[in-house]
Amino acid sequence: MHWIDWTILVVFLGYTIWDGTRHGKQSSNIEGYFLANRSMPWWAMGLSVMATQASAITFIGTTGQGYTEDMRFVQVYLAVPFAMVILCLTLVPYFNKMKNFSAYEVLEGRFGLSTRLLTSFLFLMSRSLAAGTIVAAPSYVLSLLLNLPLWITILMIGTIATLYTMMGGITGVIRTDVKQMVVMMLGLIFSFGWIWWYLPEAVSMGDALTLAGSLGKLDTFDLTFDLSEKYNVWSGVIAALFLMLSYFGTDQSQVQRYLTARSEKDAQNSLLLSAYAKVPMQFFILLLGVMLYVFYIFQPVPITFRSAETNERSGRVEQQLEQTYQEQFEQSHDRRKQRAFNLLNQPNKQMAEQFVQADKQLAQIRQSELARQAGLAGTDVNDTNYIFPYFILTQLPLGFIGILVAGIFAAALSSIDSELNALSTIFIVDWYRRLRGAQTDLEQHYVDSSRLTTLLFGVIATLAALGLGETNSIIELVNQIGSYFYGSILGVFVLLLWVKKATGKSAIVGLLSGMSAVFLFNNLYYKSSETAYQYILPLSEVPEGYEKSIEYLWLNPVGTITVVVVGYVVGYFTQDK
Amino acid sequence: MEGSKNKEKDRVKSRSYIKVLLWGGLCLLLLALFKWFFNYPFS
Repeated sequence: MHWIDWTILVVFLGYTIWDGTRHGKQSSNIEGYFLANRSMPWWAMGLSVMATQASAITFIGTTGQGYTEDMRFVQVYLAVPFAMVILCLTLVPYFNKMKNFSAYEVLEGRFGLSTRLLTSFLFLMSRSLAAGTIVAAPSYVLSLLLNLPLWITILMIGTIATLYTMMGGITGVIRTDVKQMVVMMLGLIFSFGWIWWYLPEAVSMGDALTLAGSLGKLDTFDLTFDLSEKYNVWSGVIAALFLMLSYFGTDQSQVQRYLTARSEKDAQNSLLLSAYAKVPMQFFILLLGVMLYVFYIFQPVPITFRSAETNERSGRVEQQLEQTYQEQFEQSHDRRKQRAFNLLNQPNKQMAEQFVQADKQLAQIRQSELARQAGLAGTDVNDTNYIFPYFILTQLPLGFIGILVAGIFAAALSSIDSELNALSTIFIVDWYRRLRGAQTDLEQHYVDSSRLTTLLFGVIATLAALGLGETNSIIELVNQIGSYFYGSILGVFVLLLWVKKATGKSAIVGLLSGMSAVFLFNNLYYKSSETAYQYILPLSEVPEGYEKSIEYLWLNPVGTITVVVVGYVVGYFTQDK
Repeated sequence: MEGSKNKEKDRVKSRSYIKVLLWGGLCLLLLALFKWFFNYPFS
């Protein structure tokens, strides 16, 4: 990177630290430190909610997904408007009435301390695991982008996030999230504009959509009902509804935002901002990825977007193979470009088929090269997360590279700060303060302990990131752990609000049953050719032909429904008459 | 007086939630139309 871009990045990071830490002086009690004395305006909370959910992997992985696949992922967010209305009518007024600090605090009144401690423990466990990957995943991409050793980018992200979160508390977190969201969106909008501007003169936006559509990349709506299919309208509207209700309604990293609200109305408005903006935002990010694909039809593109770190290990045969693939790729790329122009000049089915054929050939060569690299590396080589960063580094003008890289950092920091703050809140409020006692003369002690706990979780996350390395499989694991947690926790809150027969015992039994049910369905595999089901334990090898019978999104309603049913039944039989 | 003020507030709230639900439905429709117009234009 040029020194101008480095300067922009350093100034942004320095400003983030300053802006985040300067609000720390206002926190003399834990209500100030964790809830900003319930004084936040709705738009700041709303932008912070969005920034927390949009991690660096959202920023670069979603564009990558649009590039390598299509836009069906947008369907996952269709549930957001409906989920937000439900939350505004139910949990938001409830939390506003209870004036709680933690989402799980409200469970104690009805279900007892054990339920509160169990749910908060599950949160601590699952989010602590996630914290390491949230630091590691963008650090890996940034280390290649900036040509820095991985441990340096991990330390940069981990240290900066921990520092201003520790000093600034929730106020620092929310105020930096607002600016980070602005930087992210500006970066995305600029990138889109740049791609549009630099399409060949003969290629309009309509032409670009024609090319992308011919390749099936503009698929945004799939009505197929298939539990094993990741993205369709049903999983988006039904299954994801449970996930969104749980994530925005019971996950402390989100709930804490609207607990800082001045009023119930402000809390509701902060969620409604996501209700309106989430689907268009995801659509835009995916479309950016698709447009990037069209851009690279007409511009030189590398065969893979990660520089092959395996070069040193490759012998002469490998190098010749690599060169062969490279030559084939370049020829195929030129052929595809020509066929794209042919299609635009004579838009008909035959030209479209030829263009699609050329694109398929190119994709096959690329897959061959990826397989070759994977063989050398001894591990799966996936470059989806490197596509957008490669574009930023090689195509954008001076100065804007710095802004976009700052945007990636912003996306990472805005998610990590929320996790650290939430982990600290739960630990202090649900465990330390609850079990020790909430005397007023200990307030300063609890604020100091909160800062120390934030530091501790920051150090744990950073060390975990240093230990994890390349994390694609770990992200998968963390998502799976999340799917055990989210649906089931939502079930407990459903019991709290609507199931009169539920008791503390039934809530705990229900919660454990919910997680067990998720475990069972998550390890149920299906072979379509024989219509056969089989249980395969985690870490065991999956026999050929078998696939997961139910995609992870559907595990959320499985968890919730199991918890509610078991919670009701057990409560019915154990309730005092 | 207080009661009618509250009723008016509830009406305003309900209207805003209905707008959000309609927006959700509109997103569904727009995504379907987007696919119908632009995806596989020659099939």
